[in-house]
Amino acid sequence: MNTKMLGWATVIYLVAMAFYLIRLLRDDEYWGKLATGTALVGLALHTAGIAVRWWESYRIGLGHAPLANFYESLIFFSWAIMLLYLVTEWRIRNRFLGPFVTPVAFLSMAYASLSPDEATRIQPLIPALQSNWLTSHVLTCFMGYGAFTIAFGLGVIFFVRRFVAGSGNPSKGRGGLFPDEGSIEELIYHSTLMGFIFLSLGIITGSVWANFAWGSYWSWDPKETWSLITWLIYAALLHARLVRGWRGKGIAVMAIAGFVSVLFTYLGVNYLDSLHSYIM
Amino acid sequence: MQEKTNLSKNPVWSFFSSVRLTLFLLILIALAAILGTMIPQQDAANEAVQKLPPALKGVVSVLQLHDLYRSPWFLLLMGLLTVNLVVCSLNRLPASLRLYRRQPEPDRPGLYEELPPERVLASEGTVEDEAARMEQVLKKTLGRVERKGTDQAIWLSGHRGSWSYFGVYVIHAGVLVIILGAVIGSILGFDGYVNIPEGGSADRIELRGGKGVMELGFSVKCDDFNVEFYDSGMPKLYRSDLSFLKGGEIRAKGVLMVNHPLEFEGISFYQSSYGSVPGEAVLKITKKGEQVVKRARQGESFTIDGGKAQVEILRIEGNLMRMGPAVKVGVTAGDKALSFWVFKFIDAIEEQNPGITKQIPQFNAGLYRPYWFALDGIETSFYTGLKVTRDPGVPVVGAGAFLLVAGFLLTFFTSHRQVFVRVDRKHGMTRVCIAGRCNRDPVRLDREIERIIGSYKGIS
Repeated sequence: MNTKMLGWATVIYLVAMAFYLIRLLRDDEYWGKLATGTALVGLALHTAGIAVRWWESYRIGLGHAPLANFYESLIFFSWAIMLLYLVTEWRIRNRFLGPFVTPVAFLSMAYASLSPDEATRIQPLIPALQSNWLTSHVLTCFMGYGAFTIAFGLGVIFFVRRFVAGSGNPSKGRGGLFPDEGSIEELIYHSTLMGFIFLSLGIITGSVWANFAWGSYWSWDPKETWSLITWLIYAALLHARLVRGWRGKGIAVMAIAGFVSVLFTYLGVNYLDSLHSYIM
Repeated sequence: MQEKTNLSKNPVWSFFSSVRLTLFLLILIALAAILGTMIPQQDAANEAVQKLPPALKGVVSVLQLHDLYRSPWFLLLMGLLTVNLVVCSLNRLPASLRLYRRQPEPDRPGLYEELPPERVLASEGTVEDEAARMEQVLKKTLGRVERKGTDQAIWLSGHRGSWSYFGVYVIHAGVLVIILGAVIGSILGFDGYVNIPEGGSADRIELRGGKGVMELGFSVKCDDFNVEFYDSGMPKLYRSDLSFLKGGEIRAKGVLMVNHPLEFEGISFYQSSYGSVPGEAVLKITKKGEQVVKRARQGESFTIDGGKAQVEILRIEGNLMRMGPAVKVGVTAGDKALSFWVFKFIDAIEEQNPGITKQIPQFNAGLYRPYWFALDGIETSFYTGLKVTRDPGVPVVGAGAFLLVAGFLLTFFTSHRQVFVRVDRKHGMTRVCIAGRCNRDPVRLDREIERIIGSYKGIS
C-alpha cells in the first residue's frame, strides 16, 4: 500500500519536474502554476505514503518511524527536499529553482524504487537502532541534507545563469529568467545556514545516541568523520561570507563542493568500513 | 586601549586573528579527515600497512597515518584552530561590546529623511501629549524607552535584542567547551574491552590501542547472556545480566542491552559484542566397570574415586590438530601425577593411525591406571563482549553542545531592533515620525513598527 503511494509520488514528481522545465524554457507562468500544483499533490501523496508506512509498522507490531533503512532514508531525503523546496518557492515567490531541485528529489525516489523487495518491506529494528534517538537523529540530518540540496541547486543556477546570460549584458539572453546574482547568493546563504543548523543538531543527536549505543560520543567512524568534513566545508562558507565578505562565485562553488561532501557522507561512506553499515 | 594597539602590532597575535587562517585550517582539517577515512585506521591498519612498499610504509609510520586522528600533526591543526578561534573572538569582542553598549541616538541627522509616508503620522494633539502617548506604546513593545526633548521636538527611542551581538561568541564558546571536554576525556578517561563467559567474571580490562591491562577495582560477573533473532535471521536482542562484586559481595545487579548501558562506580559498561567459547567438558571416567560423569571448565578440578584422585582440566580444545574436540587432563593420586589428552573421537583416530596411543602415550586416555577417561563432548558457552569506559569529559562536551545550539538560536533567530520616534510641529500639525534600525532580520523590524503604529492609532 505505502510503496504504491510512494511509487505514484515518484511519477508525479517526474511530471512536476517536466512542468518546471517547460515553464523555464517558455517563460510562461501558466506552466509554473501547473508545476507547483503537481509538486504539491506529489508531496501530499508522499507525506501520506510515509504516514501510512508508519501506521502499518505499528499495525504489524514493529512500531517504529519509517527512517530505519537505506530505502526509507531515500524516501525521507526526497520528502525533505520537496518540503523545503516548496517552502522556499512560496517565500521567494519565484519558481526558477524548480527545475534544478525537483530532479534530485525524483532521483532519490527513483533510486529507492529500485531497492530489492525485502528492503521495501517494513523491517524490525536491530538492537543498535532500538533507540528513541533514531527519529530525531535521522530527521535533523536529512532536513540538513535537504537544505544543502536547495543551496546546491542555487549554486548550479548561479553558473547556468552566467552561461546563458553570456559574458556581456546580463539583461540580454535568458539571464533574465533568473534573479540577479546577488539574490541567488543571498538564497544560497540562507539555505546553507538552515542546513548548517540542522546538520549541527544531527551531529549532536547522533553523538548523544552513539554515547548510549557504542559507549563513545565520537569514534572517528567514517560516517561521523564525513559529517564533520561536511560541517567544516559549510562552516568555511559561512565564515568566508560573513567575515571575509566573499560574494557570488566563491560561495556558489563552496555550496556545490559542500553538496558533494553531503552525498559522500550519505552514500559514499557505505563503501568504507563503517559502524553505520546497517543503513545499506 | 594602549594594550589593544600593542596586541594588534604583535605579529603572533595578528597571525592568529586572521579569518583567512581560519578558512585555511577548516579546509586543511577537512582534507586531513578525508585522508583518514581513506586509510584504514588503528587495528584495521596493521594488515593493510604490511602490504605497502617500504617507502610508503615509512611515510605512513612517520606521519602516523594509520592513527591519523590521534597523530601529533592532526592534533596540532586542531590546536591551531582552537587558538585562532580564541584570538579572533577576543579581537572582535570590543567592537561587539561597543555595539551592545551604544545608546540609540534618536536625534541623529538623516534618520527621518527618507521615511515612507505610512511612517509619518499627523495628529491634532500637542507635541507633549502625542509624545506621551507614543512613549506608552513603545514601553509596551520595547520595554525601556529613552526620551530626549527640546522646545521644538521630542525624541523617543527603544531597542530590543541587543544580546544578539553575542550569539557568535556563544557558538564559539560552545566549540571551545566541546574541545575542552574532548581533551579532558582523552587525559582522564579510558576506553577498553573485556569478554566475560557466561557464569564467569572479570576484574580487569584490556585497554584499547594496546595500552595494556587495567584493574577495575571490582569484579563484573556475567550471570547470563542471551541473544534473540527475528525470523529473518536479523538480531533482535543482545542481553547480558551482570552483577558487580566488591570483596566477594554483590553490590549491584543490572540488565545490559545495546542502547542501555550500565554504570558502576563511575565506569560505564556497554553491550558491544558476543561470541561462543568452549565451555564445560563432559568427561566419563570408568574404574573397573564403574562409570562417573563429570563436568568442568578449563582450570577447574574435581576428585574421583571417593577422593583418592584429583583431576584437573588443563586445556580444552574445540579441534586439536584436526582430530576433533580434546581435553588435556592432569591426574594426581598420592605422589603420582600424569597428564594426557582425551579425544572425543579416539576410536576413529586409532582406526586411522593404528598404534598411535602406544607411540604417543600422552594420547592414551587410559594412561593413568586404573582410570579410563572418555570425552563425551564439550559444551559451547557464550561470552559477552563489553566495552568499558570512563569519560569525565562527557558532561563538558554536552554543555558545549548546549552552548552551540543556544548560540545558533541567539545568532540566527534574534536581532537587535532599534526604534526611533520624533514628535515635532510641521504645517500647524503635530508630526510623528517613526524610524527603525536592525543588524539583521529587517522583516521582523517592519512588522514590529507596524504593530507600534497600529496600537498608537488604536488609543487615539
